[in-house]
Amino acid sequence: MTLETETPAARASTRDPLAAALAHATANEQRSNEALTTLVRIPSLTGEEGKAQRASRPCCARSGPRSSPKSRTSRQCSSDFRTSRSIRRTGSTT
Amino acid sequence: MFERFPDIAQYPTHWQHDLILPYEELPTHEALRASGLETVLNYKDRPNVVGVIKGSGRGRSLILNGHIDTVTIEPTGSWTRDPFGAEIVEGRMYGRGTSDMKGGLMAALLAMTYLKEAGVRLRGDVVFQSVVNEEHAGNGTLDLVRRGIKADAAIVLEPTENQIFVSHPGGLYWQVAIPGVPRSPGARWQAGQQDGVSAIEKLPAVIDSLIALEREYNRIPPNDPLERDGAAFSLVMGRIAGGHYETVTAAEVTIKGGAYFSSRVGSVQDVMARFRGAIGGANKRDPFLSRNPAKLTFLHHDDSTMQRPDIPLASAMSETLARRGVDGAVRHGAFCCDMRHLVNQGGIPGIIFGPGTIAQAHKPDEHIPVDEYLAAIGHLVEFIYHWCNADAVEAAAPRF
Repeated sequence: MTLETETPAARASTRDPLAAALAHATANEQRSNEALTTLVRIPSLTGEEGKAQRASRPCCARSGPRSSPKSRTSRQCSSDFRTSRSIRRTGSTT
Repeated sequence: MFERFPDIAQYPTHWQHDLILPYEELPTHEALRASGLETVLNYKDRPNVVGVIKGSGRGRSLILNGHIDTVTIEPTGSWTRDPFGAEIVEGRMYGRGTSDMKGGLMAALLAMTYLKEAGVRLRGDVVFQSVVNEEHAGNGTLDLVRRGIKADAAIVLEPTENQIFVSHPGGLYWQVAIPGVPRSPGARWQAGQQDGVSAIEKLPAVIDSLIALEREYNRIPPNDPLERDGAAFSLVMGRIAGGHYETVTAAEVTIKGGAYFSSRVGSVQDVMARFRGAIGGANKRDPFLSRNPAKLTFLHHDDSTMQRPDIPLASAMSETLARRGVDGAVRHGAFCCDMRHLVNQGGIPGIIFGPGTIAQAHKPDEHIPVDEYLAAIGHLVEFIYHWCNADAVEAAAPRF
């Protein structure tokens, strides 16, 4: 997620700033979904979430915001989750 | 902080910190850093992140507050979706924290981002706060209050289905440990005298006393029209444990529970005093408990927040929602959150407003409707624009 300095929305804002900002938000819905996706894929941001999060792989978190959310699919994360669950069920540790 | 707010900053988080990510890895951080807005004000090595869009002056300032911590994903076996997958299925994004409350937090950050990218100039400051520890004690927000970060108003982005909540109940986590005297059946009676006492036998005395307290509280009539449908006091007995063996009188039984209470029953200190009185009464009335008292412990306590429904902040958000063609009614919230610290300790008028529903909080398969999340971004863009470009009645610029 980066901030652009000069966008069509910015140019339009001189006429109706609010309308331009709302249009910009609407035009960026995909980006909004990706931003939330990235955030949800981080198991623990503060260390306060408990044992289960500690046992989960912070698979997407480590790549951080610098990687494109598109590069990580929910299938990859689900695979990681299933793996971590099976590890816990068999009593193995990592 | 603990000296200043001794009854609020109570139980520090006890989780180990081995999975803490450097704050540079917060998804929110890149946007904040790129805009030159971010400040990190750690609370006990956990990242409280604050970003400010500085206004041009004389406008009303606004805090957008949300917590970045979530609850556990346990019981993990109850999830049918990956708790960290962020899968979108039939218009809902699934995952821990989607509703509570990464959705609201990201909606606020993006609203600020889109306003800035669109080149909108605001007169008042907008302060973004990503805080830790809300799920435990609210010490992340309390730490920012302690640092003196102020604004003319605050929006706490907890999930309200994009409705306006202007107040919320207080809450308690409590436990009562009831003693007994362990004896086998052959030793329970000695020379015609009862020697063995099961703690289980003493449960009714304690339970009846607590239920009587709840009944008494709920006879208090509502003093706020927003609360007319809500109970003044709601007691939950959630867990019970005790005893060692079927044929030995239980040496101890522990009941754990919670309670929510309206501000009309008093402060959290008042409620705790009444709790102590209820257990003290049970002890006094029972001959065994009078010599071996049941012990009450408070595991956590939060005060309520009560504000008038017509505070300017709530009215302004109501007008914004009405302009956008959605329900702008002001309501009483049904859950505790960090608003109590901003309002009660910080003296900052606040509302709770955000996408998602509290019904999804803390449960397996937590999700958020994507359209509600996207709508919240639009609502916040429009609200921030109008609020921060109105004249400030009294300047309350953020201070660090």
